[in-house]
Amino acid sequence: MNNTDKLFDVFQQVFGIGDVSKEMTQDDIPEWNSLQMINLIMALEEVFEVQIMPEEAADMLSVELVMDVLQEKGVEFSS
Amino acid sequence: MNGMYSTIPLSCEVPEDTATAVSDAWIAYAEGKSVKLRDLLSTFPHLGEIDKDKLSGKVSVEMARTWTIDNALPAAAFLGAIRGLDIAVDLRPFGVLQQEVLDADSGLYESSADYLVLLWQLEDFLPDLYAAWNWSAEEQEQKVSQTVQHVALLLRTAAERHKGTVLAFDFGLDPHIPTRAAIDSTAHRSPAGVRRRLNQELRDAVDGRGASGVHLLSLEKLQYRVGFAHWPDDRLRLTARCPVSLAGQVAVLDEVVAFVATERTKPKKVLLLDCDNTLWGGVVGEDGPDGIQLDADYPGSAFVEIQKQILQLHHQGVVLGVCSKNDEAVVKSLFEDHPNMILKPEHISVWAVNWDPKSENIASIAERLSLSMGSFVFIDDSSFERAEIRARCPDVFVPEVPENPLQLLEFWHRFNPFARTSLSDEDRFRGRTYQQEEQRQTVRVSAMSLTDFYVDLQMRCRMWHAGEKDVARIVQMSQRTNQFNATTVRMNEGDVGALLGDATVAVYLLELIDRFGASGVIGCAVVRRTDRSIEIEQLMLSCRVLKRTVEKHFVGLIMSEVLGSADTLVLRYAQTKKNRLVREFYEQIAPDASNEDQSEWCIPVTSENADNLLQPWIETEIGNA
Repeated sequence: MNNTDKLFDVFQQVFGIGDVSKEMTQDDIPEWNSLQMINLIMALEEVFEVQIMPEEAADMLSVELVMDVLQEKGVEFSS
Repeated sequence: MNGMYSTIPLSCEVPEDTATAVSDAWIAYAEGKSVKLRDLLSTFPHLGEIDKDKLSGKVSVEMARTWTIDNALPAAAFLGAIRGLDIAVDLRPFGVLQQEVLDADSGLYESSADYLVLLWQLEDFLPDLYAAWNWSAEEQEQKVSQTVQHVALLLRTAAERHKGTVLAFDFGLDPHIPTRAAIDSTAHRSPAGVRRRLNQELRDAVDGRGASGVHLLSLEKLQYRVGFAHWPDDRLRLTARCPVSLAGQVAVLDEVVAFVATERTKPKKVLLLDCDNTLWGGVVGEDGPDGIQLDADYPGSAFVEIQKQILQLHHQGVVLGVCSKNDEAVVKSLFEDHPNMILKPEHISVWAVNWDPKSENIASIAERLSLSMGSFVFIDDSSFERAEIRARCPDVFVPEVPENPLQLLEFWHRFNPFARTSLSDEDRFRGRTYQQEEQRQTVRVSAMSLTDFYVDLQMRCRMWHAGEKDVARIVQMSQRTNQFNATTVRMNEGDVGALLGDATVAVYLLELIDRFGASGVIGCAVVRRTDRSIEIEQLMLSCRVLKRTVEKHFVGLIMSEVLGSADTLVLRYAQTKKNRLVREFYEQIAPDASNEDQSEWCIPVTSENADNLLQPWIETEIGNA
């Protein structure tokens, strides 16, 4: 499983949704509330073995922005 | 299933791979290791595959809370299932615990949940606890008694109004106590000391053992179990108002479920014990009384301790019986004469020592004691004997027990099917419950109302016209506000700049301070003037300040601003999946509007309407950018 699949898998598991795409934002995923955000952060930390600071979490407003934060931490997403 | 806890007390049959997954998660939990989110999201829900018919009771639990426990919620089904309960936990809206308890018409009391759990934290009541070192003895006295009265009142009110049983926790200990403080941080004058005192006085003030419909559970006990190093989570606390780690959240949930299970399960009364390799190591019939393992050295030392555990159960009122395939004379003389026996003949109420099938012995014991087999627990190291009892006396509770003496001792440390929900047997059997029920009816809920609560918050707000320096904050609110956002227009800096430059538009910001501190900018309204009407085309409010009447006050302030220069205030609304709160609010303040598409509500701009919207308990200052 590549990192993009892993990431989409996290989104599916945390939000209990079907298809995930890079373009999805908080507004597209009704389950993406502040509470699930915590679950998302914890799941990302477990899966990618990174630490996400609150400031970085605040920027994660879409799937792509989540990828940006992870990329800064050395997680590579092949395009 | 491997490991120390291979005998999870599962009260139902599950597929083996599920059992293994659950077992692993349970081991991590029982050993106090940090609970992984993976476990919660993937393992625990496996319990959903359990045949619910095999679970005995359906129970509904409702939680009102001022701190987040939501992340642990997926564990609820698991924690219930291992105790034979089909449990559903619902959460009330976040952060409005006191408002809901004090408002007799709140949704809290419409529910028919079997249990209401109140999760609060001391800071809700005593925000300046950190200043405790500086309080005089009188000040401390006053603050402690005020807090205790306030909390006790909330408990009594909830118990009086809610149909179910009310559970709450004390305030626990401060998990951040430094280990090498120069001054003992548990000193009476320290915040930690005050916290201890509050716990004690709250316990004294509230009959927390169910008499008044309230059970006060100990958070401290859970903090010890999880470990103080694992209890707090600063990141979750500072970012998500969740002061407790995932492991701690699960422990809280577990304690609630355990309470419910204990209260719902018919209490066991009789403990029937095998002898060889259950009370001592070895076989007395072959090894002789001097050959058995029951002494200061392992494994005999484990059996001595096991007997001490069993004796404690006896002292708590559990009836002990011996049920062993042995010669009666040999076993009885060992009980009488062996110097290391902790259990003595006087502790044993029933003897069934013979070579008959144990199921027949148990049937006759039940008859002699006039008790149903459902009140029996049978402990035997032999899987053959356990299987025989399970097959022929299905009502008897027969737990799996480990063979290894150390693991067997561990089992006894954890095992207590005789637990009660703290009402003692005397209370139960003297028929006082009825009497207490009557007392509960007559408890007067003293006069604290929702209004008193709002007044007590000491809210002060400031409203001003937004300027250049506010752009960043407005963009931020526009991007992040979901629940209380009337039209959910996501704006960037350019959009906000354009609004600020538009002469027909006013952007108002609202800031709030209360006795808990400053909340910062918590409200933003974009107001557009067209002819004789003004329209609130955007309204956003931070969810931190919901249910405190601030939203009403904000609209009232805006109306007051345009008194005389406009006739109608239009409230614009665009539904999203998250902003139902705004619609409910608009329906409440503009009830006469008969709009079908629910995209706008109108209120006439009059001083009377403005006065109705303005909240007397919020002090206001109107400022400029």
